[in-house]
Amino acid sequence: MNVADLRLDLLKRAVTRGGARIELQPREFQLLEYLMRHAGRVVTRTMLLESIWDFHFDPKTNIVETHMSRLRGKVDRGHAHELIHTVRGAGYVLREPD
Amino acid sequence: MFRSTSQRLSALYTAAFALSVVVLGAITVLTTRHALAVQVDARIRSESAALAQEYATEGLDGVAQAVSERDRTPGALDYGLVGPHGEAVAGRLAATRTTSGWSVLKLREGDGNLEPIRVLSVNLPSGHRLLVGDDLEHVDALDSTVLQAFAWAFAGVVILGVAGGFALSRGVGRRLAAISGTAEAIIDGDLARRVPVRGSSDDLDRLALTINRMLDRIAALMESLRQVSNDVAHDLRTPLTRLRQKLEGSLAGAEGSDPAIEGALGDLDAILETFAALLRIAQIEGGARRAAFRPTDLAAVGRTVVEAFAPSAEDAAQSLSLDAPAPAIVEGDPELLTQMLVNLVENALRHAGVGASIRVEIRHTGDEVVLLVVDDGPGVPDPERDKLFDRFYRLERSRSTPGSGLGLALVAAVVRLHQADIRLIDADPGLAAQVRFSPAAG
Repeated sequence: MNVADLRLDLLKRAVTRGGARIELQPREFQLLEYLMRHAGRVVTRTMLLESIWDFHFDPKTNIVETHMSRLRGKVDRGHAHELIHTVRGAGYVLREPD
Repeated sequence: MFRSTSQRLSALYTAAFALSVVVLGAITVLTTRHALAVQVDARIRSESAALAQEYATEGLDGVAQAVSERDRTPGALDYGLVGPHGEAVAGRLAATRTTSGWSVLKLREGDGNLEPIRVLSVNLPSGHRLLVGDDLEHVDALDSTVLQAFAWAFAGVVILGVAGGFALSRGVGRRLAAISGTAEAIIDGDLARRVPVRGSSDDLDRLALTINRMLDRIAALMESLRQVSNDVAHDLRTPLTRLRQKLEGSLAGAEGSDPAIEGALGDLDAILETFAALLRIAQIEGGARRAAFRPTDLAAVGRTVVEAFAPSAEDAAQSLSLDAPAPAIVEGDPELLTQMLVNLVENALRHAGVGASIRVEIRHTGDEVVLLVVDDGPGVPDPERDKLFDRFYRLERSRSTPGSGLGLALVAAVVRLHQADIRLIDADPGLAAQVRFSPAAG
């Protein structure tokens, strides 16, 4: 799967951006995979909680935000264009830079 | 000594009956003794009169002969004729100093024992004295017969009383135990329990029926209270959600951010969250979720939850670790078990403070699965621990922190649904929540 210069290999379970390898935790990998499958569409906190963690309720702790900020740190840090964006009040979206 | 009322009562009745047997025995002995004495005296008197008549018709020799004859007859009274100077003339009764009238003499019997004889002495015109008497042996024999009979009766009364009291207190005790067993079950939260009724409509049965009616009334009141709070939560949710949408719309329409509207949205979310938690607790307590029960690995649930929360804990300078070496299968609803553990973990993260370490432990102990969430925070004072499971209960120091006060109430509801058992233990320092799933309950 490719979005811009981000590449996710499901078989090797490897992620590269601009050719550089990114080490992800299993859960971060799942999260990125989900975002890439829904690339260009907004995914809500609830969707992520249900599909990544199988939590069918809303924890009070911001676990989605925490995991997402870690993932962003690894995917977007040091790159000119951010791929993961926060949609205020709704959720997140991963899309190609304009 | 007597732990039950029925035992005490039957002991009291046994004592009263035993005492009445003793009194009755004493009265019987005294009256029969008196009646017998009167009878013996009458017999002696008539014999004496008959012999005096003999003297009148046959003279002294005739009397002496009659006395000797009658004295020898076995089973008859004892007789004696004594001369004017105290010499024995006929018969075995001999008396020197007896004056006329009633007296008691000692007579040496064939076996050599001295025996008391009740004697009537009559002076004959010749200066001789005629003695007629009867030994008191059969009075004593009668006494001992009567006493023996009453001793048996006494023993019978005591044995029957004790046995009856025992049977009575067991029967009554069993039924009272059933009533207090029901009360205990209700205290433990099983509100559906009722006192068994035998249908004999005796006093204990009527008491059981009254208690059951009282329990029905309490259950109805509790149910309507629950219903009202659920209805409130349910009916207010829709307008609040609409309000939230409107606020969001106005926020999206306006350029830039409006802190007032954002604050209002946050407050609304907290209210909606509280209502959602209330309704979820009601749904869990309804028991319908039991249909979704299946074998669930609690260790896997623990891994998911700890993994999900570890980064958040790290950000708060807390550490969250899992100790679940082996699969721990329980029969349950995986979704609810996850939420239960999430609430426990969130509770620990929120209240243990910065720098605390929280450990989730899941183990098979014997045939139980034990889940522990231990923190090394400030802990909770003993008297408040059990109240934590009540809805909306919050510790004084937590009032200022966010939270609905429903997290542990939901945990308790999930635990009850799984017929598990939860306890908060002083971890010294900190608090440990322990949930035990027993295999029978699943």
